[in-house]
Amino acid sequence: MAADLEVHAAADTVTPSSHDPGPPARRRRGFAVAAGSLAVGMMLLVLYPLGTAWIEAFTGEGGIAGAFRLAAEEPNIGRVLLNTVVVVLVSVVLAGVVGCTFAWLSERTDASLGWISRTLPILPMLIPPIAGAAGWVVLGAPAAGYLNSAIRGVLGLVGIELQRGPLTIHSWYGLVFVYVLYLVPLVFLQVAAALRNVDPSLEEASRSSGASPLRTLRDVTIPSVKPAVGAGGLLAIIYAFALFSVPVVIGYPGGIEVLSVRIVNLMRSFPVQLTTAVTLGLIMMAVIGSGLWLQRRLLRSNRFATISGRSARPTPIPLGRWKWPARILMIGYVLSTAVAPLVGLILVSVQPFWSGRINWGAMSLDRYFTLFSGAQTARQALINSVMLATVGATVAMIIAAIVAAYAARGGNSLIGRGADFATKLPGTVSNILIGVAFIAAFAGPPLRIGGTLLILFLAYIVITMPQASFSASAAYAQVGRDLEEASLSSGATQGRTFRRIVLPLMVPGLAAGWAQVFVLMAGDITASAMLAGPGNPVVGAFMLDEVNFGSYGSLTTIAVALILVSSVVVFTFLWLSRRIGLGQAHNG
Amino acid sequence: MSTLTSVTNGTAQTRAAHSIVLSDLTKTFVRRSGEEVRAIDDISLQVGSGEFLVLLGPSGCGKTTLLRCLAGLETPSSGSIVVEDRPAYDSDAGLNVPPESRRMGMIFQSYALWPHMTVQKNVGYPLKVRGDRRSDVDQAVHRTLSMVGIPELADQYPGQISGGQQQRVALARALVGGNSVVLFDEPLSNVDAKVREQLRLEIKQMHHELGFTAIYVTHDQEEAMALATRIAVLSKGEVAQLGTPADIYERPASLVVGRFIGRLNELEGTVRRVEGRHCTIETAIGDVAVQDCATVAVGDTVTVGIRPEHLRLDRGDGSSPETNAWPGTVEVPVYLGAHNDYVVDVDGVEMQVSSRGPLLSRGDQVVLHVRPHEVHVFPSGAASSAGVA
Repeated sequence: MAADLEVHAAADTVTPSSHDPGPPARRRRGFAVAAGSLAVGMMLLVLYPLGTAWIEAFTGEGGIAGAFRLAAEEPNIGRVLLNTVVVVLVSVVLAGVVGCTFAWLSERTDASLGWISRTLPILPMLIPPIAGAAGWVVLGAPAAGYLNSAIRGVLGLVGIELQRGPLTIHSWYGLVFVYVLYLVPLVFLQVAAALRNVDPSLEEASRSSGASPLRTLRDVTIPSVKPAVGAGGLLAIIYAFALFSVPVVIGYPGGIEVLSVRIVNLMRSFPVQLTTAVTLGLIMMAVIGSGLWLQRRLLRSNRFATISGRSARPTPIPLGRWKWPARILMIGYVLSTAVAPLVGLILVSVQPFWSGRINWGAMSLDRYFTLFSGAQTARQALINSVMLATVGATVAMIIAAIVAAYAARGGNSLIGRGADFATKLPGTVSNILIGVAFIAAFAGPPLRIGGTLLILFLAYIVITMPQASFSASAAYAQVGRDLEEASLSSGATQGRTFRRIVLPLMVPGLAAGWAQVFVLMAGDITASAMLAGPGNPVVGAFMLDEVNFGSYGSLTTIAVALILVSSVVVFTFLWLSRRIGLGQAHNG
Repeated sequence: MSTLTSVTNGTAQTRAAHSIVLSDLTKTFVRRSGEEVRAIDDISLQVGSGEFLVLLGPSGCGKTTLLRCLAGLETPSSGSIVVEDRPAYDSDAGLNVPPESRRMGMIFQSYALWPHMTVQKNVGYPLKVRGDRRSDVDQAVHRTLSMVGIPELADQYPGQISGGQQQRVALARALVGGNSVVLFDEPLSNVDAKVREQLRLEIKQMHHELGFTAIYVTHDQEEAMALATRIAVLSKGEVAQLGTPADIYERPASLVVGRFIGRLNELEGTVRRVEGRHCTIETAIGDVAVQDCATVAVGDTVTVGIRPEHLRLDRGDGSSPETNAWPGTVEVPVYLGAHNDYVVDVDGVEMQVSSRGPLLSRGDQVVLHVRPHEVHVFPSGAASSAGVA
């Protein structure tokens, strides 16, 4: 009976196409052609600039060897590389410890605070690193930092008088501190997700076997999440290695220069030292590439795949008198990453000038009015950034969604794999090298789009593509394959199926991705530092200039504006996608 | 605690008459909406040494919560738990022994074998944690693995062995420390029907050979019947009935139990006559004579329950007895091999019948009858208020 039905069903689906193979097949190919050309376009947009930059750098006098000799003769380059390695390693280790501890506290103990584990991953989106770093300068600068003047006030009460300090943000510990703030969420996300996926009965079985909570942590929990800890750590290394905003704001003024800052400076100097920048960029690319490769191996080689059962929520481990210290630690992290820098930025932005003292009487919003009324660079920068981010995020998500659907289906075709490669490649190359390559390829002839919004737009699309395609793939994976097949077997073309079935179902995931991409574009400083100029100012580049001039008044104002815009976008989209997501859950 | 640890490897002399005593155990959850849910509602139970008690009930009845409270993985709201004469939980005394000190073996639904440890390490873990010497651990592991019949698997990882072998490893780990109580949390719900039957037999055999006290949670009534010395049917956090499998099948204490164990044709009716323990009830299909209807009075509205397998089918050739015989028409015949199922229309009421004998066809005229002692009577509305037998 059942077998009969199956045969009939199969015959039914075969019949129409064998009768009439013409139009549907051609129309189906239509979608593939469109998606394929998008994929090829993306590949070109990534590979052409990189190729141009490499050719330009390595075909000059001396060839490749000459380029490397040039890079090696770069003043203080040994020192810069050493600084980079030290900052990255120390910060990653510290962030790893903090991130793992927070993940365990959130997922396994009664110190867990629901809002912390929800807030932590989006903190870096709300407070872009450039704004957070500026905020910490405002708090921790030796003379005028608010934190320092507060500490001096307290010390004054016990008879210790200081003129400066005691903290210096432009120092090794200051630099590492702010790095750690921005690396913690990367580790936390990976480890917390892994902890959620571990079958809780593995740990309960250990308790029932007579092991204490700590022993269980050591013997069962940690071995189960080891690959995730490794993956999170590598992700942190990659991120830290390519980070530009924090070291340029915090480290550089204190004489601690790292690789990313040096490369950007080479491109901002006159004349532009492309060969050295590209060569140093190769070092960065090698580190990031091998980090990603290791991470993939680590996640794939996880032979201890857990045998997961029913997902009973584990009973939280009571921490007793350690519960509140643990909570204070986590709250302290959120305060130092988000609240304290924001408060510092706001305070400076409403004062006529920045000094350690808060002059309550002189508070005013004058700076904001000037920002939005005057025909200043700042105003133009803000408008440009918001506009570029809005259009750019939309375009990036549409491209990513089409390529994701296409790559998932024709995954093994050459173009499918190429598209996958092209969308992931920018993540390996680092934003800095993309910026360098865009200057080499597009600033001069034949296109001559240097100093325009178009070059920024294209660069933003490329550097956010890994993020966009990650969100789009995740959103696509959530759409059941059978829903799509049901549409195709109802006679809809692939294009129509994509528009009417797949895309609407991807909306919540795409919306979340859009918000992420928007924030990345609006707060970008790395590519902007090289590609933006007087003709096409954007927030990131403007802030960098203000840091260099030391004009913290307008810097803090535009930083607060950036945070506001980012927060509104992120919260709106979280709220929207949750509403849409809920609606679908009800319908299904 | 330390004074009590002497009562460990329960020998015949020190062994308590009751292995586990639960008194007035209650566990309430507070939902996000603020609504309070009683997952366990004032349960008192005694489990004898060596007994195989099955906690049976539909999902959400509180059976798993009860088991987890026993293991110490969940904290009850009030009441007390005593295991092998040692208090494990007592809300009045503020005592809550953590799971690692309760000395009960537990077998999880997923078996929860640690994927990063070999079988040897998995089974030896409870002893290692206790601080036993390595040589002792190795010996005990070898002994226990031999006991469950898999000494050759010691060096394998859990991912490399079959589901049945994983179950034995889990059992070995639960027993290795000399635990006299083993808790089972639906261990057979993840395997397919054939394997399940075989594993069920193995558990029964192990229990027989090793003599531990077992508390076993399941929602599968057949599994419960097959394994239990006693079954506690749970409903809405309460014990709806506690008894041997035969007790529960033959004398369900309430409609809830009758529905959950086996199938039941339900007929609403009114009590017409009561003579001693016998009574007659008027229903939509006619009068039903019942042998044992203890608590009803004339005029009561009741629910009559008749199991499909207790209904006999005759071709209406006059051989049927006078009482409890109702003529009907076969609506749906279902051929099942060992027996056949039918839906029979009796005066517009669809009755389910399970019967041996040659398959009847649709439209056949038949007479249904049932013996008065196989008819169950429940007070109407009993579905919601389940009383303890």
